[in-house]
Amino acid sequence: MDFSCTKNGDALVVGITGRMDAVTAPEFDTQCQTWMENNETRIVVDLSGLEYISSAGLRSILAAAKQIKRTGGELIFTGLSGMVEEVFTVSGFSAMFKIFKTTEDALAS
Amino acid sequence: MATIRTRADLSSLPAIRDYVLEAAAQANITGEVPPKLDLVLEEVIVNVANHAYDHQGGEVEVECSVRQSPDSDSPSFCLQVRDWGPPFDPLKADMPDTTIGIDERPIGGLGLLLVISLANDCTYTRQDDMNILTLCFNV
Repeated sequence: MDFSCTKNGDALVVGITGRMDAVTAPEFDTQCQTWMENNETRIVVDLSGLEYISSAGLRSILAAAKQIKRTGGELIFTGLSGMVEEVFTVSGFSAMFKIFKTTEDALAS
Repeated sequence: MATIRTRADLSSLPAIRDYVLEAAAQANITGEVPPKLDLVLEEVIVNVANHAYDHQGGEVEVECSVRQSPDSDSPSFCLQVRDWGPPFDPLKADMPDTTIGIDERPIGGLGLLLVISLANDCTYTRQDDMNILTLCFNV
């Protein structure tokens, strides 16, 4: 799993590629700690390059979302498709988070 | 079709995954089923690894088969996952509430929900000292 972080105005755009599974999900936890230390509050996560996510990935995302929300920030997701989108739908994450089709849409919101 | 039997821990997952996806490819299973097999497999193996043997270690066995469903014209591709832990029917586990918000949501518990949602048919049986979970996918 790889991350690319770009600052866009007050938002941090994070692109995630690869597989987010029981082995790699802790890498997301580490990234989240970095965002917290840098006081990022508006984080747009682009999942268009994510091939796979399991419940271990959902667990890390929920833990991060709780932590970011406590500081008054939010996690926003874009670029969901295929199985990643289906997993977000089944788990209720699609209803729980703000989801946009593209990162441009999220930044314009 | 052959069976794979190995240590029930996360390090075994790549080998089990290769075996299952290869079996699916040999059975000409394409489209949306292989990604579902990939995900469901991780969830059930992680579940066995974390819970079946109370971290004392044990084995898990996975068998793939193509079955003709009695109530359908099309066949199913089935995974059968066996472990030798205490009796545990994952299909009777409490399912998380997926309608509540970020603050209220407990962390975890989504793996079995994904398994039950993505497989077309799930059955559990206890046979002697063995848990047998069978997950079938329409192909």
